[in-house]
Amino acid sequence: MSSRTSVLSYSEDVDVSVELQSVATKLSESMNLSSIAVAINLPPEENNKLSKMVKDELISVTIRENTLVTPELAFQVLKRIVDEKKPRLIIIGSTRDGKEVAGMLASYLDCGVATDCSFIAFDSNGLVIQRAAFGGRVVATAELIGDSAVIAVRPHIYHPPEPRFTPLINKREYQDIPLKVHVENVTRKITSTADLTKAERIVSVGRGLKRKEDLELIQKLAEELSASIGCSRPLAADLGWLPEETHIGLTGVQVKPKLYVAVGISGQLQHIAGIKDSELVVAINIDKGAPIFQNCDYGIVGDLYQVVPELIKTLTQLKDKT
Amino acid sequence: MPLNIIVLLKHIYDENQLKVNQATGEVSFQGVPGKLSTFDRNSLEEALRLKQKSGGSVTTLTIGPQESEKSIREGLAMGADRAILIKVPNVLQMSANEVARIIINQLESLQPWHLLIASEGGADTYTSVLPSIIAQKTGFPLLSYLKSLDILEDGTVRGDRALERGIVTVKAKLPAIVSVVSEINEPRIPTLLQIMASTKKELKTIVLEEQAREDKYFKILSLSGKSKERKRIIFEGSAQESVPKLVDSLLKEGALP
Repeated sequence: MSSRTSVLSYSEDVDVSVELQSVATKLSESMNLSSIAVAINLPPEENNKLSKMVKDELISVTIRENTLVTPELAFQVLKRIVDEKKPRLIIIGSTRDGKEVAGMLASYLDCGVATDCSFIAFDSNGLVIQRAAFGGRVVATAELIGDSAVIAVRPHIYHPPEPRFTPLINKREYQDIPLKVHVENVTRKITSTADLTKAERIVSVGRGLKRKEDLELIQKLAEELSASIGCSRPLAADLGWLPEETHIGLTGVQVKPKLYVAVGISGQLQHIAGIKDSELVVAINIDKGAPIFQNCDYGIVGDLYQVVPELIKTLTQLKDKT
Repeated sequence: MPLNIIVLLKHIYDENQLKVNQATGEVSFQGVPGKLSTFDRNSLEEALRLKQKSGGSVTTLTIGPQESEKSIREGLAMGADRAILIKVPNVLQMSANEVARIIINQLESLQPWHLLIASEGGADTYTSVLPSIIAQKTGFPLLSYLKSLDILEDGTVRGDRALERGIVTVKAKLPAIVSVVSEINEPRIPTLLQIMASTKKELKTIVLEEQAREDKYFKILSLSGKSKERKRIIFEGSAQESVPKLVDSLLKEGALP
């Protein structure tokens, strides 16, 4: 009989922490375990918000004011808590920081680890997860064996739960945690509130767009379609023309709109992985051989600088008629 | 200061050429060609650029089957000085903990090294935990997901971490482990001459005395390549011809607002 009696959850991002409580509550109930969440250096109002969603215990750790919680710091804190609580399962938000923390914990505990999981359950097989592999071409279902495991769950897979709990609040202060990686500067991005995972229609743009100014054209099309704007990885990560939250694909967000319009996107596997649950996919691309045409419902082979204005015109006329 | 840099390279199945049975979703690896994991080109490119600036050496380290030699030669053609292949037949069945253990053993014999560069993830599994496991087990600092990276005069490495919520500039003493995102650089394409010269460079193959342990904690139950069948109705011709056809179809689908 295992003495491991809890599910421990953590993310450096409070919104992700909140989402994790949906799955932590469910798993802890199905296995008759307690659910413990860890928060590090959260402002009081966020700590308070999170607490209402944690089933049994919130360990709220303070380091020093204004200390950025790096993965190294988070690991050092979690290591102490894991030593004490000996959880059956550790759930981490699968952000870039989160994956680093997950790896360190799995190394420390010498246990199984899975990152970027889109599904997690205890069933007759044991602890089972699903995650994408091979550029999103494949979904792997796997079992994590052993009396402990670390699982990093993709953000925005689980909905935030209703606030309904009054857990034990366990406040702690940790000092003098030795760190090898030092933070010199932090530039926070202004995160947009638009959540593409919930958008009904998305117009998405890729490398086919020649200049940043031409985003105006895409913006107009999105307005005509009452759609949100997304993009492929290069536009957000390389060029920085659009915010990172709008990057759709395996390493970005995965979307499931009713209508997805890909403009000037070639359609590499990694991008397709992010749109595979869309109901209807439309592609506009100048290259007839682009892989996007193998993965769309309707496509137009043509120059986006001719097709998109024509499409805007036609949609406007259609609206005027009705 | 001259830098001895180690770059991790992985030979993987080409994900674009996996064979998937559309009806059953069954995935077959039989006859699927291998390739150098896409993101590893960025790690190697960064190592080569650092070496150009500071001098030193670039050694690539690969764990995998004999076929990995194809990818390793590509690395040598890009400009790596020498390569090490640790031969294991079953790398896909090994845990990251086990792969890390083998790498760490090898690091000992590569002393003195200053920087170990990994990519943001393997283009096959994209688990992305290997650098953090190596860092945790060895105690070397880890600067992960860097989109820029510099070696400073005082023997430290500084870089910008590209995170979901912003950029964090971090610094640590060498020797250090870093992972880089693919936006950090544009990998070079070797010339024919470099490709030919690469066959003369040193590739040391090590066969482990003990069999590498298979992962006892992670068991794949199934792989499914099932994907939604799309209609694939493609319109060509001028925009004036194709756009009305598209709009018509979207109206019939009830997809317009």
